[in-house]
Amino acid sequence: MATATSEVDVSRVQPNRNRAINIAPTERLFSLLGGGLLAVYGLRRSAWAAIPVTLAGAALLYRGATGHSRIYERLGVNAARPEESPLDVTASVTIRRPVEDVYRLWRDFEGLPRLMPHLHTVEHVGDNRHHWVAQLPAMGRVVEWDTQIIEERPNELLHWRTLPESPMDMAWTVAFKPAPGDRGTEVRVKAEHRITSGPQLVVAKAMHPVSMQMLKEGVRRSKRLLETGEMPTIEGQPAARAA
Amino acid sequence: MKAVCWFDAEDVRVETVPDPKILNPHDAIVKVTRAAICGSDLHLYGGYIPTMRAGDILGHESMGEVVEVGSEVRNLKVGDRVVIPFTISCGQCEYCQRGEYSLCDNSNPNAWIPEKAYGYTPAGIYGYSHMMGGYAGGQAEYVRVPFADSGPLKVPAELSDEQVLFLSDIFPTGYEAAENCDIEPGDMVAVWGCGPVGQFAIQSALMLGAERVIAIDRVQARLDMVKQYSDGRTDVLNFETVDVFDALKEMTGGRGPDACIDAVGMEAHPSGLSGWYDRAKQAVMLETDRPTALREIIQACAKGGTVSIAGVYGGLADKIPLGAAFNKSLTLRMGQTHVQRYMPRLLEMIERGEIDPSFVITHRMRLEEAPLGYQLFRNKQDGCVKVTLEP
Repeated sequence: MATATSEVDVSRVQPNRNRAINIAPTERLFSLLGGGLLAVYGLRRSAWAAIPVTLAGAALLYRGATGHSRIYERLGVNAARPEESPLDVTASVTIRRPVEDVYRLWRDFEGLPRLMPHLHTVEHVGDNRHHWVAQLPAMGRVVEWDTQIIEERPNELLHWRTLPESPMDMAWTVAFKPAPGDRGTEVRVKAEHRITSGPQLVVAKAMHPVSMQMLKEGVRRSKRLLETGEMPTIEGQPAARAA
Repeated sequence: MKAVCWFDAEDVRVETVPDPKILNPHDAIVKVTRAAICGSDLHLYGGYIPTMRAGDILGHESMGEVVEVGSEVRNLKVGDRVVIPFTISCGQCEYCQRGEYSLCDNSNPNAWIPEKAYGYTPAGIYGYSHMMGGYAGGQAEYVRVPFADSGPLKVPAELSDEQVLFLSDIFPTGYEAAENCDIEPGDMVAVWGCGPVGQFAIQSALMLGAERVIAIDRVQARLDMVKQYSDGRTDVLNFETVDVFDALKEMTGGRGPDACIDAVGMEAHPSGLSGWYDRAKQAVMLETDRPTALREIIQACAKGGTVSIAGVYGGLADKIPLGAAFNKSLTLRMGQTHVQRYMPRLLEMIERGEIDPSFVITHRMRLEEAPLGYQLFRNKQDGCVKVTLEP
């Protein structure tokens, strides 16, 4: 994402060294649970020996709650790092077609439902603006939003963003470049959530694995459509079970 | 139509199911004239391959007559007699263009499953679990053939079904295993496992110029078959009665075999303590594959030699002696067969009379008898080496 990832690169620089989260979410959870158990166990014992247990429990609790480990800091470890941008969704693929063909497919917004079946329609409403209607898997709810193309460099980059009245605040970037050794075209897609708090954030986090898979499949479908002209399928084939 | 369907481990039945339809523009429908049960089907029969669903149609070795073609099919027409390769390959992606058909990027509709397990997806395969695409197999009266322009091989009327059927898998698989050994004059080649793939690996190693081939198995009928069709150019070892390492060392003048072929795979029949270790780990899902043969191969192979793996592995294997492989500078080669790459030249060999692949067939059955065929083949009963099925 060399063309559009300056924000991500910046976030990789550790801000606020002393307080930064450097423990992975799962480990934080175990720190909280384990620390809580140890602290309760220690407090219910009256013996002097229970004091170190209680203190250890309290330390773990603190570690879990703040997400910061001083030991990790000293060691230069940042276990939280892979989770730094938990909302961004990225996918990439190499397509054995000239960059012009690949760009044309992605620039055709109205055709994107072929790549992402959760999209019902995408409609051009003028002035580089599009109206999107989608149904999210497992939620059943129809969602609509509007976007505007912010940047368009033919055969290189497409960048579009939601307009303010949309139910979410997101930006998409699709970057194209010729693959080395005559292998076709590399495509990198990134969907960014630009929210930092509130119920939208909770929903975006909960949806993250689904969003990730949808984008990966969309990118894969663009390759399959361009290379073979069809989507491989087994839907409708026989089997000895109820359809 | 009638089709052989998988329901559970050791539960395979012939059921009546709907006929297949054209689903994509590059599809064809083939009326199956003959199919076979493959050794790798026994991994499904044993319940060792995950993501099978009750009711899936089995079979990836089949041939027949084209009865319908999709709107975009150019290389086939109704009436053509074809052998269907077990690998489904689009013919257009980088891998297919390089001739690496079993690595096709585009043929697996469930690509995301192997991506979780293997990082990237291999090609789809007929009747070989939903991880490999979930395609309905060819042990049936009809089969749908996706990407029909880059799969089925037309075969001449002069050759019988039995002579060409094994171009679908086991002949190319054995041949690729032998070709991966880069055999040079004077090379001694050892082949572990004398099932159908092992038989073709042995034949191919001889055709590619091996000095001698040493065949290793424990089933006498298989070892007898090796001797019968190799014109005195093979030796056989029964691993239940001899120490394989010592015998190979002795037979190769203390050097060890220059190339070793694993035609056994994930369900080796080991003996001794390590065998129970693997069975126990496999039973509680700590290990998916029992690599006993592969361990022995790496130990027995000559310094600087080649280990060529044709037997199927699916997941995780324990205690592979990588130190032996490293310090002896072994070359390891492996993979699902790029069937389409080998079909034309192997067909020419059959046409020239250099080999008649039908020699491996021991049991000719009706499609309805498939459950018995699976049982005989799995238990190596009644001298069973290879079962063909006729709808």
